[in-house]
Amino acid sequence: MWRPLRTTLCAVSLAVLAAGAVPAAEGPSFTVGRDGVLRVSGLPDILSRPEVRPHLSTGLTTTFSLRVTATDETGKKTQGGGRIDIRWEPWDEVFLTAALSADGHARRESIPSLDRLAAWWHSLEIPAAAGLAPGGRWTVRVEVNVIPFSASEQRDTQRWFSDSLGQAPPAPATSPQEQATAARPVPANGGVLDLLIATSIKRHSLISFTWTATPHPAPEQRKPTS
Amino acid sequence: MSLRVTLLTLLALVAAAALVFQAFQRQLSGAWFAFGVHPDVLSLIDRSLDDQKRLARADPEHAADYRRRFDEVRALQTHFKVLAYNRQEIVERYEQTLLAVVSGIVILAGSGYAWRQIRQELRLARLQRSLSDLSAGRTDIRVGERRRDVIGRIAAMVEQTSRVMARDRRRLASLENLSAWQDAARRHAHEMRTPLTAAKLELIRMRSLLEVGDEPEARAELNRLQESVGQEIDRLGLFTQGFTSFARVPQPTLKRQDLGRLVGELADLFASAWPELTLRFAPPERPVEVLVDAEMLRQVLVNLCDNSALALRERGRGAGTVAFSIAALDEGVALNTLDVADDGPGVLPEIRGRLFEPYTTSRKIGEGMGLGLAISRKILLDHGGDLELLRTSEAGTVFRLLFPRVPS
Repeated sequence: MWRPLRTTLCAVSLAVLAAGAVPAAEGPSFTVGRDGVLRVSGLPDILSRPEVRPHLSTGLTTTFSLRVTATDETGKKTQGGGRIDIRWEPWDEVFLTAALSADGHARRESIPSLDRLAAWWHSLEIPAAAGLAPGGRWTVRVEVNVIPFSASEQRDTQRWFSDSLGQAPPAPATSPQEQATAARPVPANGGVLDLLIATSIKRHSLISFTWTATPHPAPEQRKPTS
Repeated sequence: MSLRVTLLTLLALVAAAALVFQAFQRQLSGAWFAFGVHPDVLSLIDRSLDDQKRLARADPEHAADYRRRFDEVRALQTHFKVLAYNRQEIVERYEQTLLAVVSGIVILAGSGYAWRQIRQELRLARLQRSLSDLSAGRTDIRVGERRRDVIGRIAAMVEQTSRVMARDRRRLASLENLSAWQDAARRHAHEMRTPLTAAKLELIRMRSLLEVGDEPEARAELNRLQESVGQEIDRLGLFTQGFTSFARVPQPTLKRQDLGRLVGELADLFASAWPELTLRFAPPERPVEVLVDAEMLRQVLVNLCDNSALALRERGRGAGTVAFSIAALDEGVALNTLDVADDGPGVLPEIRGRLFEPYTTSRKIGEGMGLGLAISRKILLDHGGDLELLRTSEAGTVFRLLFPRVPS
């Protein structure tokens, strides 16, 4: 009885957070180049926010998923997006970052501190959509969803978890023969059920930010970021 | 359903649920163990990672090994942290799965229980039908139950009862036949002893008269005695002739004839044959054709009229009437009927059930063999029809002759 209620409350909380978590005054800006590419830049500093900051140091790949919607004077909408991955690498003690644009290009960097990461974040210019008419008047809405781990980490964990469910825990091996025996997988006793449980590992957005981007005139054609 | 079966069903249900729970519990225990999302476990992993880093710095020669271990631990940490993010979803999915499986088991068990109940109901219905058949007198009952539970045992008892009933019926029939034969033997003995005794006495008297001499009175008496002995021998001859006629009832020579015409002729011909009887016949509007041996039909009708006349005479009823009527009857088979109705005293109740059996008669011994109705029925059966006692009471008796209807 209480679980659906709790789920509903969580959903409502997330919706409230998503509705207006960030002041519009600190919104990003955008340009539409002569090549018709819409670039989003000047993303507000959300990395230092208390609801985001703890996820950056988990060692998992925090994914910031961008969804950009550009609307022209006639109401025609153009959708686009991008992705920013940030992972704390504890061995080297650096942030490994990757900014992926809508056209598939990626910009990877290794950043040693949170301050520089914030600066890098603010300096990002992400080609988010293409095919826009240059010189037009656009209203651009930028939405960023924060996902605590990447798709590959999800897959690895699903596989590992499914294997853990389907196999009995091996006994401590004391001899090479026992080690060899222990290495053999024990047959799963409920494959479908294991799969059902393992596939409950999903990537959910923890928090969502939405801004209306302000136009930033582009002086001339720029090369795509790589 | 018996208490034992109900308890067994419940026990199986609980056992199945316990088994599933145990299986899930094992899986879940292993899962939680692997889960390792407890903060202390995560803290230990963090410290382990730090240790590997410090070891690598302190022992640069083996830095690669430490890095490899570091990566292994870190992969595990990644799994734990991803699971920690999804802990609620995993628990919910697990509970949903468990609920679905348990529900499935309960539904299966319930379906099995219902199926068993339906099967029991069907078996009970079959048993009920068999009991109805048994109460209706059927003796060839096969319930077809192979199981040895309560229903199966009752079914076996029903079958056994039907077998006992069949055996008793056969014995009863055998005893009835024996009784009939005893009665017939007694009648035969009496029928033969009476004329033989009389003839013997008369022969003794004749011998004594022969010793007296050739006097006219003695001669006259001898002639009378000779005539009397002849009569006794004739009675024996008639007696044996009755047997012969019963044993040698010929097969009828069937011809298509109008039944109404035949009966009308007979009624005219025998109108004065029985002084105490008046024969009445209302011929049908249309000819009723049947395949019949006219002479044998006449024999049957004469026998029935004889019986009516004798009954009237014996019971002092005086005059009576015999009425013939022809009709059509449809009782699954198309038949033509000829009813012979009298207003006599009726058939005695004690012989109604075996009226058509040989040697069944209400007359005294020596006054009839009781073969007439048996012969008459044999004749009608040989015609493909039958002779039956339609009704009898003190107000009269109706015999019905049945003939198969022939296509026009």
